[in-house]
Amino acid sequence: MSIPLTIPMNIKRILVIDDEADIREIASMSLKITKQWEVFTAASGAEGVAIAAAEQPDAILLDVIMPGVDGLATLRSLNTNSATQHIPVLLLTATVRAATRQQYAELGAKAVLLKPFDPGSLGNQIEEVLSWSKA
Amino acid sequence: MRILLVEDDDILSQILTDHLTTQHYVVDTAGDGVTGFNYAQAVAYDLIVLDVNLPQLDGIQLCQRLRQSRYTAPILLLTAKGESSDKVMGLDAGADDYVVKPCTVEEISARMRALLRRPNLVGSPVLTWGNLCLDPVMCEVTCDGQPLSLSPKEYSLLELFLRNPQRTFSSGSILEHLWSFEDAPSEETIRSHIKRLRRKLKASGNDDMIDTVYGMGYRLKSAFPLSVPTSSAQPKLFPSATDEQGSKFIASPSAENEARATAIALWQQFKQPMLDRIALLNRAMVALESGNLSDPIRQDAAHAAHKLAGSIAMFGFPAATQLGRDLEQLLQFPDPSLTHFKKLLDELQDILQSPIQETFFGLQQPSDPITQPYLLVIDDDTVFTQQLQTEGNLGNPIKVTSDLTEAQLLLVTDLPGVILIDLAFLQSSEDGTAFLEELREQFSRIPLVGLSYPDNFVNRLAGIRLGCDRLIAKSTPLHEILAMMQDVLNQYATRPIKVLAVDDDPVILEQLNQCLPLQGIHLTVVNTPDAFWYRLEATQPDLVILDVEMPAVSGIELCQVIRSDRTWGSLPILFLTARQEPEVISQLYKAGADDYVSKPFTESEIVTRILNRLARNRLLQQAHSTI
Repeated sequence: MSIPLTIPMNIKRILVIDDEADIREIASMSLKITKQWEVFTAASGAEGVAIAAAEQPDAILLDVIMPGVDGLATLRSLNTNSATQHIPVLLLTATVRAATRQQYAELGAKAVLLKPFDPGSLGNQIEEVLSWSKA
Repeated sequence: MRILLVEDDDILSQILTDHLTTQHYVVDTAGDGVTGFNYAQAVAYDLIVLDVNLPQLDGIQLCQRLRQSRYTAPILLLTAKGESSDKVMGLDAGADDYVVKPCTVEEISARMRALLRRPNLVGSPVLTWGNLCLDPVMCEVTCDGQPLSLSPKEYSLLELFLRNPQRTFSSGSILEHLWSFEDAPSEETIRSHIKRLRRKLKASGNDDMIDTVYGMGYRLKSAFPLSVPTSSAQPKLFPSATDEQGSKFIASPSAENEARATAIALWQQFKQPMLDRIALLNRAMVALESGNLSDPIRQDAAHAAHKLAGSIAMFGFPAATQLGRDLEQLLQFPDPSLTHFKKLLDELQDILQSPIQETFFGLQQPSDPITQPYLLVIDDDTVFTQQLQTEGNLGNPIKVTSDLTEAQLLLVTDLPGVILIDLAFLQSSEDGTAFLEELREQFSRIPLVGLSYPDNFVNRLAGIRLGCDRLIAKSTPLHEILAMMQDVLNQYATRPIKVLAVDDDPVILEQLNQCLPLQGIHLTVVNTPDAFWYRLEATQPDLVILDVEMPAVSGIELCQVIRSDRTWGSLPILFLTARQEPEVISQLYKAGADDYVSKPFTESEIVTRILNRLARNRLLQQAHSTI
């Protein structure tokens, strides 16, 4: 197999907020294996906001439908918190409709990524959505 | 749209096919009910048109059978009688609509369009996307009122996407929908059609209307993309695989596949939560059956369906995603259809019980060709070899030669599973020593069994010195010799050895990559300890190579983590180290190392250490299993 001889110069740090352990695990595994990124995970919106403020990740993947504080409430909280409002948020959802898409945009989400995602190319999607690949 | 027409009247069948083809439908025809049923089982049709009077299996029976097999596509019945009993029986059998013959082909095609529109739950017969309109009646596409000229296949592709805006179509499913059996093209042709369609759409101002979903296929982009209020550059919501942009770190295709394979491997870990979600759906169905479907139960079930739809495909069950979405959609209504619910749930449960489909997201598992390893016998004793060939009931084939040159050729062209060699013959041969040297050097993985005659210590020692792995007296009964061969074949089963190497030094990894695959060793490398555990689970290696000093997590710590695990605790671990201090070496063994190799190392050194370690491990396992 080919070996990446160049170690990435700019290792990204990603926070995955999802109440489902399987999604957290697959997203985390996928980004570590394919991009060698550092990944933090949170199982709830409240935990996610705390980790985001403390760790200052480069981007946040946020599940929309979660019990308790759901994804949109979490997004509002991230946007109003001065420690986290600069961090780009990508929403993760299994279903998305035109109307809700507009709502997500108004709330400041950078993009919506559909679940199920391809574990082989999740990192590429994030890079392209956030134009990291051009940097 | 792909249609199945089951009609025994050849003339009507031809007229209808011709008409539907001009409407850009792809039509398959069957002349009797049994053929129709077989076609429907083989291909995902968008709609089936059935004549009631059919030979072998009539239209109503066929309809019943299709519905019993959980066929969900719409079915339109054609009946010549016009009797209400036929209509009632047809509808009860699961048909969605009927047309009474005689009728015009236009009427049939109008009913078909109506049925095809149903899932959209939208009254308008015109399909729209932004400023683009597709009129299925006129077979016309317009953009801002201006006609857009598309070829029939481009038109059909666009219609397929517009009718199924949420669905991702793989090349295979596009092929199934838009081509008949006879003219099925390659996937490359489908890509060309998509490319041409995209070009025309782009020219009409509808850039990026069709998304490429990595590893899955194509789907219609939402007509109302998310706007980004602050960023100067508009990011792509669903990046296209065809976009070519540079990346600082490009995951190799193998890393992508490994991530996909790892996700599938995680199924065992997450199976139970998935089954719990299924249980919630079953609970709702039972409640619905008994007329007690409360809102909380229904909402729990809808939530479970939503969660299933979002993750199940990643574990290798792609077909389950749409079923999850359909169930979620169905459970939005306070009084969902029990039949529909049951059908979807049954189908979902069937899928989860079927083998995992590892081809999802383009994952291709390297498949090892299944070949029966053979026994190569090198001996000029024709009585012995003939007896071996005629009486030997070894499950594996046997090849015999008394010519060392021929043996060499066989080794190069068709690797044997085990070699049985007469030591006396070898020692008497002029090229015997050179042959053995080459054998040991180039084919060290093939087990070598020496026949000792006369059987004494001196000859056995000579056998060991010649490099034999096992020795047996030639006078041993034939069945015992064969039993030993079988044993060796099983023990040394020549499946590829898998090695996982962790080192932060890319030069070392490259060096391993240069030498191990040449020896038939499959190598997976990890350059940060962080991804190690996933790769361990995904690759299931036979041996792990660890660097001692790495940032964040040292090799010694990794070794301790492996040793403390129930599954991986006995995995052979080999260290690579530039450190020679006794205290460092002692630390390695203390942490659970099996062996270490000093850096810099030679190819033969590392290969020999790996093979020795694995051989020792096999012996240990064997000894353990016989206790």
